[in-house]
Amino acid sequence: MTTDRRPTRALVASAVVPLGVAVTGTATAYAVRDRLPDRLAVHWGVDGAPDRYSSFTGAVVTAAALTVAVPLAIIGLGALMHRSARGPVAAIAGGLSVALGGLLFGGLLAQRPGQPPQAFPPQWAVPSLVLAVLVGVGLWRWGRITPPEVTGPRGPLPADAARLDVAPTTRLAWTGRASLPTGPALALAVVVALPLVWVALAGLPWVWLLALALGALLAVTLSARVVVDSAGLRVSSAGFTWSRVPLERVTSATTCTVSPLREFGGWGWRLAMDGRRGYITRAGEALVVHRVGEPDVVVTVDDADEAAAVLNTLAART
Amino acid sequence: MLWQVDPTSSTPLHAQVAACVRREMASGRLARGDRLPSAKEVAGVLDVNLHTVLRAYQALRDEGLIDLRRGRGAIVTATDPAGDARLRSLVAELVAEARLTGTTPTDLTRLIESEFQR
Repeated sequence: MTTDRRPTRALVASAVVPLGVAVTGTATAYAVRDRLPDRLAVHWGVDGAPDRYSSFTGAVVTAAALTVAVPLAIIGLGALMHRSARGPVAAIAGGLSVALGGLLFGGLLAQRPGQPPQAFPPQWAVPSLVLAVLVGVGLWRWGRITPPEVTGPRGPLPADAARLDVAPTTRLAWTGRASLPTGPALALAVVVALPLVWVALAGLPWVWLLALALGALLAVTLSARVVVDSAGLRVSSAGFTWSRVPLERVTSATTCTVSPLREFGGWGWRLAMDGRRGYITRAGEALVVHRVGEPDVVVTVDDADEAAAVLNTLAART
Repeated sequence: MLWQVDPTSSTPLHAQVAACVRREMASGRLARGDRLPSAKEVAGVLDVNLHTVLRAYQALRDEGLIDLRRGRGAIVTATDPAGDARLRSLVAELVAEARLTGTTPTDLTRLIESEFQR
């Protein structure tokens, strides 16, 4: 079997994106230099008025450095991760560099002598973000590994895989939730909302929209429904499916104790260094689904042992 | 929470669905204020008719165990789900056992009455 090289290629390609964006941005800035003011605003206060200026060269070099440095650091981490994680990491790094480059260079190039520099150039923001999403999706699709075909009858489940003692005619299912405990959820809301509300009150009303959008995004991404039934495992939030493992791709299910920061580097839908996918909302017990030819899927749910037993029982029937 | 129904059992499906919820309450895994999955979702995962699940939820509501509100779903309201619910699941088990041994409802009632008089 030849190794699928696309994840690594996508990761290498994603390193070209920030360099390309930085070079294009720098070249464009030099091309229109005589139309820009001598001193460029590079930082804005909470009221939207510029509070720091820089020379043309200083501003361009800073924009280029930021556009390149952050994505390259992410790509470096991706190179150390499991092969199956490289596509998603390439997507994040590529998309991020387009968004960063668009906003940073866009903010510089939109300035004109004698006019007050805008805090945020909306005419650049939207196209940059759309392009960033397109680049991200493109790299993600390129770097995606096609899971191996499941052929022939499945092997028997491990003898120690927990199962339920029920009649073969019994229809089994398990439903649960993976969500942030109330305390951390409130703390997160305060940490995210307070700075934005402060900025919004200080004179940038459009930030209310950003705060609302972020709040909705967090509410959706930090709580998921977890279902085990005759179709396999499904983890979804408000109609968006994070993970779906068909029963025929389940080798077996078990439980583990997870540490969100140490193993998954945070909360939400995560990629671990070893390629495991996790929907992680807290420390503690979690359902682990071993898959055919792909890394495990981990979901933090209460009564994970029961969910694992249901999944094993259903898988043993296929 | 665990859902299990056996279509080959003589117990009606809606009663089996309601029993799943009562068992979770009796074991303490469902607490007051918890939200049950929507009837549509339960019907989907168990591959049963939506009306079967709705009938089960209505029975649980009539027993005062859950609150059904349009748009809010089913919320557990019983303060002591282990009381009435536990009795009902024990009776369900008793009846199932009686069916196995061929005991008639009259015989079973007589047995229960004599147990009360002891």
